[in-house]
Amino acid sequence: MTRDPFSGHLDLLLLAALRAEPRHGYAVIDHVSRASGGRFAYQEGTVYPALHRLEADGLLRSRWSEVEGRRRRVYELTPKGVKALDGRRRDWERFSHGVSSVLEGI
Amino acid sequence: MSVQTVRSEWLAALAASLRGSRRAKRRLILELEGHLEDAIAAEIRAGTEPHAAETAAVDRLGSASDIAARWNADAHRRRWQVRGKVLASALAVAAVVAPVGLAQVPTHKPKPHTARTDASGTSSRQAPRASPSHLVSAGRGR
Repeated sequence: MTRDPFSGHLDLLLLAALRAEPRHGYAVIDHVSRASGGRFAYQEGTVYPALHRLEADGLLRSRWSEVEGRRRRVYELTPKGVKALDGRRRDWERFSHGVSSVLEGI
Repeated sequence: MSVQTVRSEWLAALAASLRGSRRAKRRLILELEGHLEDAIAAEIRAGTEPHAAETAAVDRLGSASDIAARWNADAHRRRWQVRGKVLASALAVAAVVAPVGLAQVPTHKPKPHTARTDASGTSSRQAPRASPSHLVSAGRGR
C-alpha cells in the first residue's frame, strides 16, 4: 500500500479501540496494531495529540491510573464518544460498501 | 550517543516545539515517556538489545517536529474555540441584560418647566387678574 490509510481514519480507529474498555495510549496503539494485523504504517506519536483532541471535543475522558505498577493516562469513551463512534462507523460502512460496489463492477 | 540520550533528546526536542498550556504540554510529555517505557520493555522482551530497543521505540514514535506540528495545530484550534465560546457567552449575557437595562431607562420626557417668572418675581402663568371693577362697570354701562 503506497498511501497511509491510517491518518484519514485515525479518530474512528482510536474511538473503536476504546469501545471495549479503557486503555492508555500505548495499549490503544498496541490494540490497533494487533487488530489490524499490523497493516498500518504510521508514526505512533501522532496518536497522543489525537487522543487529547478527542478529549477536548468531549468524546473521551481520561485519568491517571496505575497500570502494572506504572502511572499511565487511561482514556475511555464518553456517551458522546459512543454516539460519535456509532455515527462514524455507519459512515464508514456506507463508504466502504459504495467503494466495494464500484470495484465489483470493474 | 548514550541510550538515555536518544530518548531524552527526542523528548527535549518535542518539548521545545510544543505550544499551549504548560499543564497540557507536561501531560503529553509524561504520556510519551510512559509510552517509551512500555515500547522499550516490549522490544526487550522480544529479544532486542536495550540500546537498539530504545532506538527502535523512538523511531516508531516518529519525528518530534511532526508531532509538535499536529499538537500545535490542535492547540491553535482549541484556543479559537475557547475564544468563540467566551464571545458567544458574552453576547448571550448582553442579549439578556440589554433589554432589561433599556427597560429601566425613563421613556417619558420630563414635563417642561412652564412656569416662568418675570422680573418682578411674579409668575406670568398666574390666573388672569380680575378685570378692574371700574372697567367692568363702564362696560356694563354701555
